[in-house]
Amino acid sequence: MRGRLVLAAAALVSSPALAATGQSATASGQAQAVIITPIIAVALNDLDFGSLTSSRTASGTVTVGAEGAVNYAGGAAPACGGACAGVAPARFLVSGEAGRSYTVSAPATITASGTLIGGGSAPALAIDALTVHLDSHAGAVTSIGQLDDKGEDRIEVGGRLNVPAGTSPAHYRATLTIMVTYS
Amino acid sequence: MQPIRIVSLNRVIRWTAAAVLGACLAGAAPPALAAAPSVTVSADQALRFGTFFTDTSGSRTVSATGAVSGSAIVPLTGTAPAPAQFTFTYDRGNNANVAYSLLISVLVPGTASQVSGGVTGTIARFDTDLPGISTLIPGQTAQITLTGCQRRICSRTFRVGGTLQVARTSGGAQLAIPLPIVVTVLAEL
Repeated sequence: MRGRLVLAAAALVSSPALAATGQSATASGQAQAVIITPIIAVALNDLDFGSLTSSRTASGTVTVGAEGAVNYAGGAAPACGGACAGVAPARFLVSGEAGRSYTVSAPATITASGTLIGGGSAPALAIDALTVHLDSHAGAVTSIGQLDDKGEDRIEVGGRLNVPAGTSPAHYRATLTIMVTYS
Repeated sequence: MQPIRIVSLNRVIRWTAAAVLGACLAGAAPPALAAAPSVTVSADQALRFGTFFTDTSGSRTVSATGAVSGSAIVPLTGTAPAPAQFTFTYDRGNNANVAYSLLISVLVPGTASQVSGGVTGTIARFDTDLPGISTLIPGQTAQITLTGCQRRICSRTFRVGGTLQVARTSGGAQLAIPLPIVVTVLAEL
Protein backbone atom coordinates (compact mmCIF):
# COMPACT_ATOMS: atom_id res chain seq x y z
CA MET A 1 0.00 0.00 0.00
CA ARG A 2 2.79 2.39 0.80
CA GLY A 3 4.22 1.74 -2.59
CA ARG A 4 0.91 2.61 -4.24
CA LEU A 5 0.70 5.89 -2.34
CA VAL A 6 4.20 6.86 -3.32
CA LEU A 7 3.40 6.20 -6.98
CA ALA A 8 0.26 8.30 -6.76
CA ALA A 9 2.19 11.19 -5.28
CA ALA A 10 4.87 10.93 -7.93
CA ALA A 11 2.27 10.99 -10.68
CA LEU A 12 0.70 14.16 -9.32
CA VAL A 13 3.95 15.99 -8.83
CA SER A 14 5.35 15.09 -12.22
CA SER A 15 2.27 16.15 -14.21
CA PRO A 16 3.90 19.44 -15.39
CA ALA A 17 6.13 17.40 -17.63
CA LEU A 18 3.21 16.52 -19.88
CA ALA A 19 3.84 17.83 -23.37
CA ALA A 20 1.54 18.46 -26.31
CA THR A 21 3.65 16.22 -28.48
CA GLY A 22 1.90 15.53 -31.73
CA GLN A 23 -0.67 18.23 -31.22
CA SER A 24 -1.31 20.33 -34.27
CA ALA A 25 -3.03 23.61 -34.89
CA THR A 26 -4.03 25.16 -38.17
CA ALA A 27 -4.49 28.80 -39.07
CA SER A 28 -6.35 29.77 -42.21
CA GLY A 29 -4.35 32.57 -43.70
CA GLN A 30 -4.76 34.12 -47.09
CA ALA A 31 -2.64 35.51 -49.90
CA GLN A 32 -4.12 38.42 -51.78
CA ALA A 33 -3.29 40.13 -55.04
CA VAL A 34 -5.03 42.39 -57.50
CA ILE A 35 -4.09 41.76 -61.10
CA ILE A 36 -5.10 44.64 -63.29
CA THR A 37 -6.27 44.34 -66.86
CA PRO A 38 -3.54 45.83 -69.03
CA ILE A 39 -4.33 49.18 -70.54
CA ILE A 40 -4.35 49.44 -74.31
CA ALA A 41 -5.10 52.11 -76.88
CA VAL A 42 -6.55 51.14 -80.25
CA ALA A 43 -6.57 53.58 -83.16
CA LEU A 44 -10.08 54.24 -84.42
CA ASN A 45 -9.21 56.71 -87.13
CA ASP A 46 -6.30 58.78 -88.39
CA LEU A 47 -5.49 62.43 -87.98
CA ASP A 48 -6.65 63.55 -91.40
CA PHE A 49 -5.87 67.01 -92.82
CA GLY A 50 -7.86 66.30 -95.97
CA SER A 51 -7.03 67.62 -99.41
CA LEU A 52 -5.68 71.11 -99.67
CA THR A 53 -3.97 73.53 -101.96
CA SER A 54 -0.91 75.55 -101.24
CA SER A 55 0.11 78.95 -102.49
CA ARG A 56 3.15 79.30 -104.67
CA THR A 57 4.20 82.35 -102.74
CA ALA A 58 2.86 82.07 -99.20
CA SER A 59 3.28 79.42 -96.60
CA GLY A 60 0.22 78.24 -94.79
CA THR A 61 -1.10 75.93 -92.14
CA VAL A 62 -4.02 73.61 -91.61
CA THR A 63 -5.00 73.08 -88.02
CA VAL A 64 -7.30 70.25 -86.94
CA GLY A 65 -8.34 70.69 -83.35
CA ALA A 66 -8.56 67.74 -81.02
CA GLU A 67 -12.28 68.44 -80.78
CA GLY A 68 -12.72 68.55 -84.56
CA ALA A 69 -12.51 72.22 -85.52
CA VAL A 70 -10.58 72.91 -88.76
CA ASN A 71 -8.77 76.09 -89.57
CA TYR A 72 -6.81 77.07 -92.69
CA ALA A 73 -4.33 79.90 -92.56
CA GLY A 74 -1.90 81.64 -94.91
CA GLY A 75 -1.35 80.03 -98.25
CA ALA A 76 -3.15 76.80 -97.36
CA ALA A 77 -6.76 76.33 -98.44
CA PRO A 78 -9.17 73.42 -98.70
CA ALA A 79 -9.20 71.78 -102.09
CA CYS A 80 -12.93 71.17 -101.93
CA GLY A 81 -14.54 74.42 -100.92
CA GLY A 82 -15.31 75.26 -97.29
CA ALA A 83 -13.85 72.11 -95.77
CA CYS A 84 -13.15 68.70 -97.15
CA ALA A 85 -14.99 65.68 -95.88
CA GLY A 86 -12.94 63.34 -93.80
CA VAL A 87 -10.92 66.01 -92.07
CA ALA A 88 -10.75 64.83 -88.49
CA PRO A 89 -8.55 64.43 -85.47
CA ALA A 90 -7.01 61.08 -84.66
CA ARG A 91 -9.16 58.99 -82.36
CA PHE A 92 -8.13 56.23 -80.01
CA LEU A 93 -10.11 53.92 -77.76
CA VAL A 94 -8.45 53.26 -74.42
CA SER A 95 -9.41 50.09 -72.54
CA GLY A 96 -8.33 48.88 -69.13
CA GLU A 97 -9.41 48.56 -65.51
CA ALA A 98 -12.62 50.41 -64.73
CA GLY A 99 -12.12 53.48 -62.62
CA ARG A 100 -8.35 53.60 -62.91
CA SER A 101 -6.61 56.77 -63.91
CA TYR A 102 -4.03 56.77 -66.63
CA THR A 103 -1.59 59.04 -68.36
CA VAL A 104 -1.30 59.54 -72.08
CA SER A 105 1.82 60.82 -73.72
CA ALA A 106 2.10 61.98 -77.29
CA PRO A 107 4.88 63.64 -79.26
CA ALA A 108 4.85 67.40 -79.69
CA THR A 109 5.76 67.17 -83.35
CA ILE A 110 5.88 64.55 -86.06
CA THR A 111 7.03 64.61 -89.64
CA ALA A 112 4.99 63.60 -92.66
CA SER A 113 6.81 62.08 -95.58
CA GLY A 114 5.35 62.59 -99.02
CA THR A 115 5.11 60.81 -102.31
CA LEU A 116 4.72 63.05 -105.31
CA ILE A 117 1.65 62.48 -107.47
CA GLY A 118 3.93 61.89 -110.38
CA GLY A 119 6.15 59.58 -108.40
CA GLY A 120 9.19 60.14 -106.26
CA SER A 121 9.51 61.54 -102.80
CA ALA A 122 8.36 64.98 -101.78
CA PRO A 123 9.93 67.19 -99.13
CA ALA A 124 8.74 66.29 -95.65
CA LEU A 125 6.15 68.42 -93.89
CA ALA A 126 6.14 69.20 -90.22
CA ILE A 127 3.12 68.60 -88.04
CA ASP A 128 3.32 70.41 -84.76
CA ALA A 129 1.10 71.77 -82.00
CA LEU A 130 -0.25 68.30 -81.38
CA THR A 131 -2.99 68.52 -78.79
CA VAL A 132 -4.52 65.65 -76.85
CA HIS A 133 -8.09 65.61 -75.65
CA LEU A 134 -9.47 62.98 -73.32
CA ASP A 135 -13.21 62.38 -73.16
CA SER A 136 -12.89 61.80 -69.42
CA HIS A 137 -11.86 65.43 -69.20
CA ALA A 138 -14.54 66.90 -71.42
CA GLY A 139 -13.63 70.38 -72.55
CA ALA A 140 -10.14 70.22 -71.16
CA VAL A 141 -6.89 69.24 -72.72
CA THR A 142 -4.93 67.18 -70.26
CA SER A 143 -2.67 64.20 -70.21
CA ILE A 144 -4.36 62.40 -67.33
CA GLY A 145 -7.61 60.56 -67.79
CA GLN A 146 -9.81 58.10 -65.97
CA LEU A 147 -11.39 54.98 -67.36
CA ASP A 148 -15.17 54.83 -66.98
CA ASP A 149 -17.17 52.06 -65.37
CA LYS A 150 -16.75 50.00 -68.51
CA GLY A 151 -13.03 50.51 -68.31
CA GLU A 152 -12.96 52.76 -71.39
CA ASP A 153 -12.05 56.24 -72.45
CA ARG A 154 -11.47 57.96 -75.76
CA ILE A 155 -8.63 60.13 -76.88
CA GLU A 156 -8.58 62.62 -79.73
CA VAL A 157 -5.40 64.14 -81.07
CA GLY A 158 -5.29 67.20 -83.25
CA GLY A 159 -2.39 69.06 -84.83
CA ARG A 160 -1.14 71.67 -87.23
CA LEU A 161 0.23 70.84 -90.68
CA ASN A 162 2.77 73.34 -91.93
CA VAL A 163 2.65 73.82 -95.69
CA PRO A 164 5.57 75.74 -97.23
CA ALA A 165 4.95 77.95 -100.23
CA GLY A 166 5.12 76.08 -103.49
CA THR A 167 4.61 72.66 -102.02
CA SER A 168 4.28 70.16 -104.84
CA PRO A 169 1.17 67.99 -105.15
CA ALA A 170 1.80 64.85 -103.11
CA HIS A 171 0.34 62.35 -100.69
CA TYR A 172 1.67 62.76 -97.19
CA ARG A 173 1.65 60.29 -94.39
CA ALA A 174 2.97 60.35 -90.86
CA THR A 175 2.95 57.96 -87.97
CA LEU A 176 1.47 59.21 -84.71
CA THR A 177 2.27 57.06 -81.71
CA ILE A 178 0.71 57.63 -78.33
CA MET A 179 1.40 55.77 -75.13
CA VAL A 180 -1.03 55.13 -72.31
CA THR A 181 0.04 53.95 -68.88
CA TYR A 182 -1.76 53.57 -65.61
CA SER A 183 -1.06 56.39 -63.24
CA MET B 1 -28.00 0.76 20.15
CA GLN B 2 -25.71 1.57 17.32
CA PRO B 3 -23.47 -1.17 16.08
CA ILE B 4 -19.82 -0.55 16.58
CA ARG B 5 -17.74 -0.53 13.39
CA ILE B 6 -14.35 -2.00 13.77
CA VAL B 7 -11.76 -0.76 11.40
CA SER B 8 -8.54 -2.53 10.84
CA LEU B 9 -5.31 -0.83 11.81
CA ASN B 10 -4.01 -1.24 8.27
CA ARG B 11 -6.88 0.84 6.83
CA VAL B 12 -6.46 3.56 9.43
CA ILE B 13 -2.85 3.91 8.46
CA ARG B 14 -3.80 4.03 4.77
CA TRP B 15 -6.38 6.75 5.30
CA THR B 16 -3.98 8.75 7.39
CA ALA B 17 -1.27 8.57 4.77
CA ALA B 18 -3.68 9.60 2.05
CA ALA B 19 -4.94 12.51 4.10
CA VAL B 20 -1.45 13.73 4.84
CA LEU B 21 -0.44 13.46 1.19
CA GLY B 22 -3.57 15.29 0.08
CA ALA B 23 -2.94 18.06 2.55
CA CYS B 24 0.64 18.42 1.37
CA LEU B 25 -0.35 18.58 -2.26
CA ALA B 26 -3.16 21.03 -1.61
CA GLY B 27 -0.73 23.45 -0.07
CA ALA B 28 1.93 22.97 -2.73
CA ALA B 29 2.77 25.18 -5.70
CA PRO B 30 0.41 25.59 -8.72
CA PRO B 31 2.15 22.92 -10.84
CA ALA B 32 -0.07 20.44 -9.10
CA LEU B 33 -3.00 22.00 -11.02
CA ALA B 34 -1.78 20.95 -14.45
CA ALA B 35 -4.02 21.23 -17.47
CA ALA B 36 -3.59 19.50 -20.78
CA PRO B 37 -1.03 21.29 -22.97
CA SER B 38 -2.49 22.97 -26.02
CA VAL B 39 -1.34 24.52 -29.28
CA THR B 40 -2.98 27.29 -31.26
CA VAL B 41 -2.03 29.25 -34.35
CA SER B 42 -3.74 32.44 -35.44
CA ALA B 43 -3.59 34.21 -38.78
CA ASP B 44 -3.00 37.85 -37.95
CA GLN B 45 -2.43 39.32 -41.37
CA ALA B 46 -2.79 38.20 -44.99
CA LEU B 47 0.11 37.91 -47.38
CA ARG B 48 -0.48 40.89 -49.65
CA PHE B 49 1.11 41.05 -53.07
CA GLY B 50 -0.48 44.40 -53.85
CA THR B 51 -1.74 45.64 -57.18
CA PHE B 52 0.01 45.18 -60.48
CA PHE B 53 -0.50 44.14 -64.04
CA THR B 54 1.29 41.80 -66.32
CA ASP B 55 1.01 41.19 -70.02
CA THR B 56 0.96 37.40 -70.17
CA SER B 57 2.98 36.23 -67.20
CA GLY B 58 5.04 37.63 -64.39
CA SER B 59 5.82 37.24 -60.74
CA ARG B 60 6.02 39.28 -57.61
CA THR B 61 7.90 38.40 -54.47
CA VAL B 62 7.12 39.72 -51.03
CA SER B 63 9.66 38.41 -48.57
CA ALA B 64 9.09 37.65 -44.92
CA THR B 65 11.03 40.80 -44.11
CA GLY B 66 8.81 42.89 -46.39
CA ALA B 67 11.18 43.30 -49.32
CA VAL B 68 9.29 43.51 -52.63
CA SER B 69 10.54 42.63 -56.08
CA GLY B 70 8.96 41.66 -59.36
CA SER B 71 9.57 40.27 -62.79
CA ALA B 72 7.59 41.19 -65.93
CA ILE B 73 5.01 43.12 -63.95
CA VAL B 74 4.14 46.77 -63.53
CA PRO B 75 3.34 47.74 -59.94
CA LEU B 76 0.37 50.04 -59.50
CA THR B 77 -1.09 52.04 -56.69
CA GLY B 78 -3.27 50.05 -54.33
CA THR B 79 -2.90 47.94 -51.24
CA ALA B 80 0.68 47.96 -50.02
CA PRO B 81 2.48 44.59 -50.26
CA ALA B 82 3.24 42.93 -46.93
CA PRO B 83 4.08 39.47 -45.63
CA ALA B 84 1.54 37.33 -43.83
CA GLN B 85 1.76 37.17 -40.07
CA PHE B 86 0.90 34.26 -37.83
CA THR B 87 1.14 33.74 -34.10
CA PHE B 88 1.93 30.35 -32.60
CA THR B 89 0.99 29.84 -28.98
CA TYR B 90 1.87 26.89 -26.79
CA ASP B 91 0.26 26.47 -23.40
CA ARG B 92 2.21 23.88 -21.50
CA GLY B 93 -0.62 23.54 -19.05
CA ASN B 94 1.18 24.41 -15.82
CA ASN B 95 2.98 27.27 -14.19
CA ALA B 96 6.30 25.57 -13.59
CA ASN B 97 9.05 28.12 -13.93
CA VAL B 98 11.31 25.95 -15.99
CA ALA B 99 13.09 26.93 -19.18
CA TYR B 100 12.19 24.76 -22.12
CA SER B 101 12.36 24.60 -25.87
CA LEU B 102 9.87 23.35 -28.41
CA LEU B 103 10.57 21.30 -31.47
CA ILE B 104 7.84 22.14 -33.94
CA SER B 105 7.09 21.47 -37.57
CA VAL B 106 5.54 23.98 -39.93
CA LEU B 107 3.60 22.91 -42.99
CA VAL B 108 1.80 24.64 -45.81
CA PRO B 109 -0.38 21.81 -47.06
CA GLY B 110 -1.21 21.45 -50.73
CA THR B 111 -0.66 23.90 -53.54
CA ALA B 112 -1.48 27.53 -53.04
CA SER B 113 -3.11 28.56 -56.27
CA GLN B 114 -6.24 30.06 -57.72
CA VAL B 115 -7.75 30.45 -61.16
CA SER B 116 -9.95 33.48 -61.66
CA GLY B 117 -11.18 34.08 -65.19
CA GLY B 118 -8.16 34.42 -67.41
CA VAL B 119 -5.75 34.80 -64.52
CA THR B 120 -3.95 32.01 -62.69
CA GLY B 121 -2.00 32.74 -59.55
CA THR B 122 0.32 30.20 -57.94
CA ILE B 123 2.59 30.47 -54.95
CA ALA B 124 5.20 27.79 -55.36
CA ARG B 125 7.35 28.64 -52.37
CA PHE B 126 7.24 30.64 -49.22
CA ASP B 127 9.81 32.00 -46.86
CA THR B 128 9.58 32.81 -43.18
CA ASP B 129 11.47 34.75 -40.58
CA LEU B 130 11.42 31.77 -38.24
CA PRO B 131 15.06 31.09 -37.44
CA GLY B 132 16.32 28.17 -39.44
CA ILE B 133 13.44 28.05 -41.91
CA SER B 134 14.25 30.17 -44.90
CA THR B 135 12.02 28.32 -47.34
CA LEU B 136 8.64 26.66 -47.03
CA ILE B 137 7.59 24.47 -49.91
CA PRO B 138 3.91 23.48 -50.01
CA GLY B 139 3.47 19.90 -48.92
CA GLN B 140 6.81 19.69 -47.18
CA THR B 141 7.25 20.10 -43.44
CA ALA B 142 10.00 22.18 -41.97
CA GLN B 143 11.24 21.68 -38.43
CA ILE B 144 12.41 24.31 -36.05
CA THR B 145 13.35 24.50 -32.39
CA LEU B 146 11.87 27.40 -30.51
CA THR B 147 14.14 28.24 -27.63
CA GLY B 148 13.76 30.54 -24.71
CA CYS B 149 10.36 29.39 -23.50
CA GLN B 150 10.05 29.94 -19.77
CA ARG B 151 6.50 30.59 -18.73
CA ARG B 152 3.38 28.57 -19.11
CA ILE B 153 2.53 30.32 -22.38
CA CYS B 154 5.19 30.32 -25.06
CA SER B 155 4.20 32.45 -28.03
CA ARG B 156 5.97 33.38 -31.24
CA THR B 157 4.84 35.68 -34.01
CA PHE B 158 6.31 34.96 -37.40
CA ARG B 159 5.92 36.28 -40.89
CA VAL B 160 5.53 34.41 -44.15
CA GLY B 161 6.43 35.78 -47.54
CA GLY B 162 6.22 34.19 -50.95
CA THR B 163 6.49 34.48 -54.69
CA LEU B 164 3.27 34.76 -56.66
CA GLN B 165 3.50 33.55 -60.23
CA VAL B 166 0.80 34.99 -62.44
CA ALA B 167 -0.23 33.72 -65.85
CA ARG B 168 -2.76 35.86 -67.67
CA THR B 169 -4.67 35.14 -70.83
CA SER B 170 -7.32 37.82 -70.46
CA GLY B 171 -8.66 40.44 -68.10
CA GLY B 172 -7.70 40.98 -64.52
CA ALA B 173 -8.58 39.37 -61.22
CA GLN B 174 -8.68 39.80 -57.50
CA LEU B 175 -6.92 36.78 -56.10
CA ALA B 176 -7.61 35.48 -52.60
CA ILE B 177 -5.59 32.31 -52.25
CA PRO B 178 -6.11 30.24 -49.09
CA LEU B 179 -2.92 29.99 -47.09
CA PRO B 180 -3.34 27.45 -44.31
CA ILE B 181 -0.45 26.95 -41.92
CA VAL B 182 -0.22 23.80 -39.82
CA VAL B 183 2.06 23.84 -36.80
CA THR B 184 2.73 20.63 -34.90
CA VAL B 185 4.54 20.32 -31.61
CA LEU B 186 6.94 17.43 -31.99
CA ALA B 187 8.57 17.61 -28.59
CA GLU B 188 9.06 19.74 -25.53
CA LEU B 189 12.75 19.82 -24.84
